[in-house]
Amino acid sequence: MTPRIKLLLLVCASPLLLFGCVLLGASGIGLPDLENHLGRAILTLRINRVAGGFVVGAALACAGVVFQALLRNPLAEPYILGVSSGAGLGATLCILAGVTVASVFLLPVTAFMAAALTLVVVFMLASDRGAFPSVYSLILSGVIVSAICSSILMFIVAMAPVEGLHSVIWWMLGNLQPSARELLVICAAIIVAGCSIAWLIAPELNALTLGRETAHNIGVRTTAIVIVGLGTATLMTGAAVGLSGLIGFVGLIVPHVMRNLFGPNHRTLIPAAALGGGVFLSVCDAAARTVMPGVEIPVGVVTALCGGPFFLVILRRRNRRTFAA
Amino acid sequence: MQTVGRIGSLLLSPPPFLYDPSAMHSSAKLLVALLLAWSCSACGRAKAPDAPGVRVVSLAPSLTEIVCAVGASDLLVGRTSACDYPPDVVTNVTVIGEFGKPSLERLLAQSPTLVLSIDLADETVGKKIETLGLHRERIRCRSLDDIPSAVEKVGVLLDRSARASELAARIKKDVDTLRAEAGRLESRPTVYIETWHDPPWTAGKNTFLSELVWLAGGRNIADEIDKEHFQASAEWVLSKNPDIILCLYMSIEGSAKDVVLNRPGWKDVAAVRNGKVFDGFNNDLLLRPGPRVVEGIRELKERISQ
Repeated sequence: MTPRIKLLLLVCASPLLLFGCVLLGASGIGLPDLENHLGRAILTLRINRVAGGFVVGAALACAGVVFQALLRNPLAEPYILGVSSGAGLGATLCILAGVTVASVFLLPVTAFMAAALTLVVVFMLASDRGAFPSVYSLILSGVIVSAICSSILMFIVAMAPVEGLHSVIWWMLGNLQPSARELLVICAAIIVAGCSIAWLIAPELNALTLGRETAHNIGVRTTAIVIVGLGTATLMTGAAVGLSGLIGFVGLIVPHVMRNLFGPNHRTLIPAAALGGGVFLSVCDAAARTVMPGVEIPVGVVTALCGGPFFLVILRRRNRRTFAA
Repeated sequence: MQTVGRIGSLLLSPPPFLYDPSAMHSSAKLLVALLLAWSCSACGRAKAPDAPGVRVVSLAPSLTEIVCAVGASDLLVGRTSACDYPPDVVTNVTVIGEFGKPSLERLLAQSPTLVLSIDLADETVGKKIETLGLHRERIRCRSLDDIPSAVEKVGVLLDRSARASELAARIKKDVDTLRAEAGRLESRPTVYIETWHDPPWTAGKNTFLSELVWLAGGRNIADEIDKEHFQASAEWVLSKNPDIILCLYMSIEGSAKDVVLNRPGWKDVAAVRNGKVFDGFNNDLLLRPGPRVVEGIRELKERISQ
């Protein structure tokens, strides 16, 4: 099967799986009673949540592919440059300042801005005397900024009153129920734009996986592509984090699984990762809200529990094949 | 994600008002505390004559209330920062730490003869207090029926038995009356208790709050879930369509009620449609298994039967 046919299959299967997710919920399996207001309200909640899961999963997986290509590192993921810690710090300050009640947009916007600001800081720290930063200095300064943000966060958490802390912890575990429809639409718009840009620079990303020098020699404007790529991936991640909090694992695992299934060509890999990540997160979230009716389980727990073993199986299969060859 | 991992251990803890993580767990700190214990006991012995009799430290707001209610407030030498009632008594009592997080150093500095704690307090801290040679008494105070016996027990420990049994009998009688009244009810409105708004948390089966709601004439929708405190799914609440919503938290800005009213999809819930979303309770009466609980139930009853 060529990657293109596989992609076509994924495109056909995705709507079915997403529809399946809409049928699952805390109030029972199947569509709610659409005759009354409450049933319709429940259906709207579910559709928003599945849509939220899809765009967040797509953003994280797509950003993961871009980061892995640009940083040429298998451990690269959307949060590697400290974006998550920065956004976490912003969100925590926002929650503990008590302004989240005033408007549902305040927290997501703060998290998004903090994520973008973190990338700028990391980039500035990594670029030595105006020179364009190397992959290693980017990753290192990302780790350092991330550590600093985390320690400030821990300090605030240690000092904070218990009530606010509760919200902070649960925000960090992630929740895919959008707090407002408008928020979902805005984040989805940013994410769709981000995925499109990533797809447009796919040939350049292919070249960059060979190394910056080689890519430069075959005519890729590496500096521009790296800046555009990092910026796009960070904005997508920021939008995803703003919408749903910190959801781990999707941005690391889905790109690897998809590269295994679809091959390394970014022209097919990016749409495949976006679709696969979106469906994967929606399905995990459907499981998280159905396992114990009425009780919410953080979706990050399910992504790691389902994704981990799956990832191991794929990795082992590949290793065995490599050894046999 | 590192941060999440580090504070992820807090995840399993109960909701804010029952929150009691371990205070200290490094053996180094224990060593310091032990050294301090030794030095303090030395100086405590030196000035023993001016501090005769019982010196009691309470590690929970409900116990502080009980100690004062049995007329032993003069014996109280330490409290937590959460103990705020009765206000005129507690202002003069030294704070020895947060609720569930006592500072062993400050606790020892008060040279108490008796430490009162509830069974919510973290057990490792409790063990440490005992290791330091202090008399620690665990007072069980989880359900409504525990309150009169807790009052009596505190009375015996503090030598205020007469007043304590009188108070215990009064609470018991009031609760029995409420129970009898509640038993005669033919229909009960369904109630959704929200103990925290972001994310929504509720109290399930066998919780103190669920018991109070039952006595106040309602039926907790979370009684069907065999968990004490948990994050409630919005969809589940909508599907239960509660008649009454109780918001038992202080919203930092604006009213707690508005938080619920502004949630997408909630405007069709019966409680919202009929204007039966209530906030502004005296949460200390409802969340604290103490001697003022009957007042709390009456307040709740007034709202539920409105």
